[in-house]
Amino acid sequence: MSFLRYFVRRLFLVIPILLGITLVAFIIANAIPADPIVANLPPNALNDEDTIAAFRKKWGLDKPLHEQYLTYLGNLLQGDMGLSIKWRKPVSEDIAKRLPATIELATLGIMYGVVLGVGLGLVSAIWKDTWADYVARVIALIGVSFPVFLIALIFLNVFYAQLSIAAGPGRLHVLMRPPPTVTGMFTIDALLNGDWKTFSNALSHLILPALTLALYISGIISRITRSSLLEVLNQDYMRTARAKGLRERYVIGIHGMRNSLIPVVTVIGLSYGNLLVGSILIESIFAYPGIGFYMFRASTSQDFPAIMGVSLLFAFIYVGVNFVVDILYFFLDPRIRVA
Amino acid sequence: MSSISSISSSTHEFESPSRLQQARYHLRRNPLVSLGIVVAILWILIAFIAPAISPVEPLKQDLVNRLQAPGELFFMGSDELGRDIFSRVLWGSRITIPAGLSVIVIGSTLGVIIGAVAGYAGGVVDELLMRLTELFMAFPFIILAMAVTAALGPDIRNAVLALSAVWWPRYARILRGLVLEVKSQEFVEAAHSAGAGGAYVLFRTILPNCIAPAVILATLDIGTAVISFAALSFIGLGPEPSSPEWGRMVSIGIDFFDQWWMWLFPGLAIASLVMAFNFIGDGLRDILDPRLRGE
Repeated sequence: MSFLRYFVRRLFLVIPILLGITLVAFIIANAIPADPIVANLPPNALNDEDTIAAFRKKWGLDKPLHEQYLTYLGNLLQGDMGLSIKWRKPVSEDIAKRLPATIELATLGIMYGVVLGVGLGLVSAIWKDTWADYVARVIALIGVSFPVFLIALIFLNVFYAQLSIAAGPGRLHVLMRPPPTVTGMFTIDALLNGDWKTFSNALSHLILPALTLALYISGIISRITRSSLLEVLNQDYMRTARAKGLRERYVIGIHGMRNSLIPVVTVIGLSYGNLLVGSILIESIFAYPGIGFYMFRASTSQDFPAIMGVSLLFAFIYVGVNFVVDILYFFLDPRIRVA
Repeated sequence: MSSISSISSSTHEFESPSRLQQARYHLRRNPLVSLGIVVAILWILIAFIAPAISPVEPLKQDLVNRLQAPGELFFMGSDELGRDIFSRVLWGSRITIPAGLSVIVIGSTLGVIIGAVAGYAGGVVDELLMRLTELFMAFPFIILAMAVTAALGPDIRNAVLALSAVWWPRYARILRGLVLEVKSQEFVEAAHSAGAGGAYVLFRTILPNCIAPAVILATLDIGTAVISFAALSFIGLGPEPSSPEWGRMVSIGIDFFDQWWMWLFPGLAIASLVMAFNFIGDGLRDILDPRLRGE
């Protein structure tokens, strides 16, 4: 199968899922709350007939349900997710402003997480049932079992408050000015501006939250790496590779790793969902002004339109990432190319 | 008759060790499983006897002694209203454990029914239910639960309902596959030809033969359910703020960062409970999945 055909076929599978997500979001936003008007408008606007009438008209609330959905979809396509109750601003605007910060954190987090997770998995598969295996597995179990907000608080307390070897909350030192906005990601913008001081400061603020995220997702990644590699290590072709005199490094690195990679890539895609949830919990503790912090503040003050907006965005990102994973299979699994 | 059965059972034992012996063997090889079982039982016990053993009422305020560090007066310190953290942590088990278990029970039952009906009915019903399952799996499930809880209004019951509502898809998928496998076997055909109705065959003949994997998955899932519930209540979508719920206590503790005992102890309570269930689940997986034993 050619790459293009595979790509297009996968793409067509994604479209109904995206539509389905908007349908689920629509149902949650409009059908579950006893009264969508009460849920979506600030309390003091509920006495104002004009505001209510305008809200009804905009979301087509006087029309039948299927027309409401089309109105909702139309508004969504124009990037309209409604007004936040708490901040009185369009949700999409707030999200767009905060998204780069979260992308910056999530990217670093997943990089650390993959290195840590695959590393731990490798160690515990290669030296199975030795003390190294036990240590690696216990670290992985801590990552899965400790609530991520507790890890964040412990890290912040130990490395920032007690030892002062890491930067504290926020994205930059309070007295520093953000670099001129190009991408909205402080590290990249600072680099583009040639401003090393801002770059290193922004990076140092990213390290603790990114490490927390990494520990959180590495548990699952290492577990899958371990079991996938263990399964491959028992295969006949591994014995063949050893028998023909290959060095252990090549046996594991080329024959072992490559064949055990597919489930690992799948789980990295799936753990992106955890990463997004983790960002909500972690950003709220590190006072890191991204989407997660926005979601945290929206949900503690029951800002319904904002919660729905972020949920929708996270679902879209999640589907997007898993689409990319699907595309990666094409390169990782030769069987797809032959089929 | 009895002598025959005793002979056959003794030869059986000779051929392969009894289940009890097998369990004992695996427990010895997996000390973490035993640790998990002990800790889990301890927490469940605490949940039952918390009212009897906690030093004070979890909601009792003592404003004179607020924000006290752990010491003689308060074993785990006191919070911003002078409430005893230790008592609150003990009482918290009475919220979190039932909440986590309810999510598993409701969610897995829902999934088992949906998957079984899809697999048994086939055709359009199967297609519809499975597309729905895939749709739910396309969401990161806690995010979906957050949206549902926010829509229902935040409280414990709604958080549990919302989590259950997003918990079922994996169970549905597994059950559908198993039912498809079992449904073509002869004893099912026999039940049909004996005149049994569709629902009877599905729930009485087929389902008992495919329920075990769902039960195992449910055991593996308890830790995740507990931690998801804690996350929901951490972001304010669970019980009300004064409630002695662990996630909620940690989230209030953020504002009192330097009073570490306010967030550390409830956080460790969650961690120890989840870890216990994960140790048990991990051991169970090792025992049941021979591929991982590396024979």
